[in-house]
Amino acid sequence: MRGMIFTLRVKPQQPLDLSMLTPDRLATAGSLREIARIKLYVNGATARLDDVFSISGDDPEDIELRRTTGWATRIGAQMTRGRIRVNAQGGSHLGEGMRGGLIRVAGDCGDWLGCNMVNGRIEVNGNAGDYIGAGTRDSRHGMANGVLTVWGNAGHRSGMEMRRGIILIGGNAGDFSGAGMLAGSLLILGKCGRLPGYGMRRGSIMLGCKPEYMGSTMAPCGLLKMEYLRLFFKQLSLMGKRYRFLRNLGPEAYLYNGDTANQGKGELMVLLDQTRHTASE
Amino acid sequence: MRINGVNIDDTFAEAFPMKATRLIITAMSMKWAYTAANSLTGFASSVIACGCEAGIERELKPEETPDGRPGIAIIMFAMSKPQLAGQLIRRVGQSVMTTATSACFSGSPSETVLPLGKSLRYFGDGHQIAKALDGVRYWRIPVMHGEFLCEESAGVVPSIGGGNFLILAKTAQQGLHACERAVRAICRVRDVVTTFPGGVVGSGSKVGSRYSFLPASTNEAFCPTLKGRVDSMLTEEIGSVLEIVVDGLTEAAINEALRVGIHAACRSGPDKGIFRISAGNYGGKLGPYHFHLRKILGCAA
Repeated sequence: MRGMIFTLRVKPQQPLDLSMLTPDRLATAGSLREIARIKLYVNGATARLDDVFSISGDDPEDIELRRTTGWATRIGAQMTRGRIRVNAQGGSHLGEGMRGGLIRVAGDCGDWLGCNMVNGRIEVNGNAGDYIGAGTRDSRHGMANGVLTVWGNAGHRSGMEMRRGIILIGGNAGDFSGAGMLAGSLLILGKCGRLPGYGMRRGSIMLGCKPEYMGSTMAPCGLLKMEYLRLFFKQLSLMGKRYRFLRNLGPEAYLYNGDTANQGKGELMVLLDQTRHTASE
Repeated sequence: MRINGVNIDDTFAEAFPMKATRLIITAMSMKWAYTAANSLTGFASSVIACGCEAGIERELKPEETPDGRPGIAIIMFAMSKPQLAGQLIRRVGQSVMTTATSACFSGSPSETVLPLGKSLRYFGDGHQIAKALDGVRYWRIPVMHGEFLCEESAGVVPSIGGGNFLILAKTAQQGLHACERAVRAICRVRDVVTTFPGGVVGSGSKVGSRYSFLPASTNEAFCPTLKGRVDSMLTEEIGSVLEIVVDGLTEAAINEALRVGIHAACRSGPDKGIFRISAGNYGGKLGPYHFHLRKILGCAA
């Protein structure tokens, strides 16, 4: 069997909802003929899948999207299994509510990456927008589990109110990273904007560099040898070749507890001497 | 049957089913990992009165441990799951958690588990933190040296206890020399441990005694000082009998341990005071596992 390849016929000029293009949905459809009949939402209207994409291949568990742009929203939303490879860019809400499987994006993607994610793995080679791993407006918390990796830069409020799981940002991140975090782990290897961990309740934020501005309600504990970091980075380094350099990080870190303004029991660790090891290694 | 002039008795070692768990103990250095492991496996020679049997299986390199530090693999055995659960918490809590810089992880993946960090976390008095990595839950318990890291649960696997053989020698010194060689050989076998001090039993026992309060008593048939007074299994030239007991996770592992152990012991030969190899059994009534010495050695040959 050969993985299914979906190539955009014409680059869209308005939002194109691709939440129907998941291994689960394609497996339910069964035949190639039925798959071609799947309706996609294009700016409020519907269109047949084969009108929007040219289709080849026959394995619905392995999907490849070609020529997609930032207008391609909700790629892999609610998917529970299989693999989606985005060989171009992804739009907003990529992997929204995802429950399993793997999404790999070769380029950049938009805001709300992995929002409300429940499980699975997302790996973005480029940059991502704001609110990655956060919760949407109507949800009680952000991502509940899974692993979300952005090798490039991320926008503001990464991991906001995340409940569990791991977010790894290889580049820089914007302001309010891990704001209101409930649990889980957020690792930012590059520079970090203002007020990381603002209002966090629990969870761990690990920073490669000292943030631009740290809130005064994050209580400093000094430079400590955090043995947990050995375990964390070793387990992370086993996730693949590209993650191997992580085993060189830690365990020394400046520890801050907080956010004390929110009676928080979270922790923020600024890794010592991280500059020797970068994501590009 | 003879190996290097040493007689191999036509008998078998009788072993019984147990429950076991393997733990990985890591620390800042191998020295401190050993300190924790020795403390945990101390006073764990026999289930008769120690509650469990435990021993060090092997050293682990940093790349073999979950946190990348030097470690020790130990295996604990007990007669039942509840008995093992109680000993596990007591021993890890009092011996490993109290060892500076130590951490404890499960080393035997299994669907049946016993609480480990799940129970020990309460020592954190509300300051403990749970972390899930790759589907495994760990507890970070704040302690005075920093943090005690512990996996939430430890896997339990069916196992076998009581594989054994006896070395019948002219003197205790000669017997002990052969035993040391045998234990060194057994240490290289995976999935087995020798739980007695130095791996050698100086006072092997039989089941029951003439006193109602005692579950086990001296194995008089193999006591050299009782020759002539009891129905002895010893000939005139035998002056000392030492036993090596092997607990293991599989029948194959115990077979291999007994085989390499007997071969190593026989290397001394009659010239150096080793005359016979025998085994302890209870007529086949106690345990379902019978390790026939000649079969084990014959198979290998």
